Amino acid sequence: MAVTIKSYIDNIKDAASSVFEGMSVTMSYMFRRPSTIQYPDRIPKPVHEMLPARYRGFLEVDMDICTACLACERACPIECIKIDAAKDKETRRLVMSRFDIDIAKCMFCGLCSEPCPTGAITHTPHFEAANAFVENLTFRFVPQDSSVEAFKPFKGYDAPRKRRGDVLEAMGLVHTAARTRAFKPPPLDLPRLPPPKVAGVVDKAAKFELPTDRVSSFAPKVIGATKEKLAVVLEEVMAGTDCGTCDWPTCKEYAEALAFGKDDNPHKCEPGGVDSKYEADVVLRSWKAGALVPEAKGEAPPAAPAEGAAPAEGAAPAEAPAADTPAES
Amino acid sequence: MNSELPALQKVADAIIAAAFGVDPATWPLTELVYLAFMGAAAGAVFGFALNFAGFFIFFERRIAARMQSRIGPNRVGPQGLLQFMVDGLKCLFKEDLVPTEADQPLFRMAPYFVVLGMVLAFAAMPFSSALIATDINIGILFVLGVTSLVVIGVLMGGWGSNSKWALLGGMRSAAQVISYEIPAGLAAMTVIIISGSLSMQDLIAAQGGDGIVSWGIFHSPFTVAAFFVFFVAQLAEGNRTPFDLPEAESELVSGYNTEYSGMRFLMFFLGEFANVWILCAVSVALFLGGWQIPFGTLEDGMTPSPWLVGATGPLFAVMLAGASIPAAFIGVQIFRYRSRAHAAIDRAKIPGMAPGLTRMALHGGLDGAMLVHLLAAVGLVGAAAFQLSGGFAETFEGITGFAWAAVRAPIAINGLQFGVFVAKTLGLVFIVIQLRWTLPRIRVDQMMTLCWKYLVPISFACMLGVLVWELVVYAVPILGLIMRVAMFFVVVAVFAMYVKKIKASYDVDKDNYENFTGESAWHPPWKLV
Repeated sequence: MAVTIKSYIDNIKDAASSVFEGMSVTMSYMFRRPSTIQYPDRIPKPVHEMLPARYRGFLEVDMDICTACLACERACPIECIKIDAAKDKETRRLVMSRFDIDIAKCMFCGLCSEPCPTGAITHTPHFEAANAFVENLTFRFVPQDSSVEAFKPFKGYDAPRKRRGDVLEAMGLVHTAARTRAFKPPPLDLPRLPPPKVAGVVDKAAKFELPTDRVSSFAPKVIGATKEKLAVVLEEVMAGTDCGTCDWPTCKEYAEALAFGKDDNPHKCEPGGVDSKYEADVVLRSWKAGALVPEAKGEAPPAAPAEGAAPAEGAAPAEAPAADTPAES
Repeated sequence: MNSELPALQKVADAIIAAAFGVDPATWPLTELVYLAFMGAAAGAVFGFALNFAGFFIFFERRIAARMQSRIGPNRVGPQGLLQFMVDGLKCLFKEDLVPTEADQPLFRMAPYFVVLGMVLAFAAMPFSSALIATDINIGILFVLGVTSLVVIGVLMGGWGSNSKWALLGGMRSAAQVISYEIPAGLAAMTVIIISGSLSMQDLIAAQGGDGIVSWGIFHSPFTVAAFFVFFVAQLAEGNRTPFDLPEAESELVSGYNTEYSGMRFLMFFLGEFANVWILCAVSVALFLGGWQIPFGTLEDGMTPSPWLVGATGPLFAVMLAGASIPAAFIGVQIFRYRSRAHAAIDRAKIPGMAPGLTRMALHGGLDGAMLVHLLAAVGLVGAAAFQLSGGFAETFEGITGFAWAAVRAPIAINGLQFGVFVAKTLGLVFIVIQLRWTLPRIRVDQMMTLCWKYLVPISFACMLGVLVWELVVYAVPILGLIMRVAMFFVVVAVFAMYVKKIKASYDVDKDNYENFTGESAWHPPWKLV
């Protein structure tokens, strides 16, 4: 590529004219309106009113027309919808005791609203989920400790699917509902809310059988100890994950509840498994009896009655056995 | 008065004579006043450099945003003006990390070299006929020399970091700056030949006399070309896009400052942004008339042309009235939020020995500040009116014994020159910013090609051309003025073409935009968002 005088001068001209051209384009943008929307506080109307009609934001369920068919629960690929529905024995009607959507988990795919026969579950244009407490993002459409009767389409009900436009028309109400759900005030007591009861946990605790071939290593420590000391030992026994399965916010509180008699079931520590349940059981009974309970091996299955009987005499544990605990351990 | 004295000294002498009524040549305390002046000059220069670097970041971000259809920072302070302070504070509070494997002394020293090179260049920066820290007789050589000190800092940082990215960045910077010094020096030679001096003030003084056409750039076609060569070479020396190869984000992470954080990173950046001022100010001083007022004639700050002397009175009135605006603004703002502020003071939990007393002081301070600001605003407006009516100087002198009238004209003239110089430089700074958002980064080989195959030969040709043209003008003087006027109109024509092109690019999209959004596309930069 030989450099001739002509190509040399052409290069200079090219460079100059392209810079000139480019600068005129960038300069012209100084006179055009910027396209930034100054979200969230300097916009003419709320963002959710500017979003397209089919925007997929928070899920909202119209409980008046929910048939409790569980189609949405089955469709959800990440299982963020949980519905408990059962036949009421007296009225023979389908009743929902729970309809939870974990918006924190939801990926807004829209698969749940597709199979809904009545269009009860829909997306709203709301998306601002920033929240101090992630529990607030579990939307409960059935209030706690109550139930909602499922909608039963009457004969000839042609079940018009709710369209986006219809929802938008009735939006005043739906909007408010979705927003208040997401922005309900955070719980003031700082320990976290007890997590929703998961069906089956309580049953598992009931079915638990104490192993018969073990020796407790914690029981000797509590013989003749105060309730405070007992609570400390019980907390050591727990798994220490603060999981909340026991219905107490933390392991410490569960341990204290056991020690001070607020809770009478020592078998609720799921993460600790058999170890924790066995130890808690034996420790509690040893403390109440004021002595080691080696016979626990024998009478493991009927643990509950033993506990029930214990408190009366165990309230004031004898001081005497305290001396020989170190020797035994 | 000795005409050989530096201008700053002349102002100091005039102030001494006016304020104390003594002869500065024999007065024993003269040296002390000079020392105070020097300290003030150094502080002012450093403060100016740092503040400019800060505001430059803000301006660049806002302008860049508008060129990309965005808005840019507009939340901290009025219109986001205080954003740079927040950014600076953030950097100050960050940990000053030094990599374990780094060459500690080099790594720690590097930013100081960058800042040193920058501040030293400001020492010979002519802000007005009197406002120059030191008018040394090799001014331009000094500026070009100490600006190269920056590259030593960059190289030290690049080597000391012991990181491949930093090292590559430092090496590129060294290669680039050394190459581009040659065309820059040769292009600067054109104006040095015309004025016959290396002193910054002489270079600028030589561009006065006939108003705007006496500027260095309009001397001949060769100086027009030399201006562009010089500007491009200075851009490359300042490591600005499209020559920001030393810190090419897409190739070298962040180049020579990859390993830096916190305070030291901030110093690198301050040096870099103050360098933009230097490159623009030097281009203005050499080619665009420096502090020369476009349509006035002013060869010496102490002996201004008559119309400027006449204009000083109104000029001062305008300055006084302008000073009342911030005072009035603060006063009115306090008045607007007064009740809320009082309520906040009542609510506030005040620790300490006497919270009641503190609360009382705060209440009083709030109302006092409001009153002081409002009164100051009213007073300044009154003083401006008084100044316009002509009685100010006599009254002021009668009260304080300060011969105000003697120093009034030089101060006003220098203020005007300062404003003109800053305005011209900011115009070039805007172009530097605009170039950054217009041109892509060039490759290393393209950069070297541009320098050695284009800029160096062109600058040589310009130098020779100016020499020849000077001989021609020496023979036929009238040709010089004809050429200057012709060049002026050529540049004006190019500018007109530029404006036309801008309008064309705006019109291309205007209708589409307005059809699509239903609102007017017209939103010039002075309509703030």
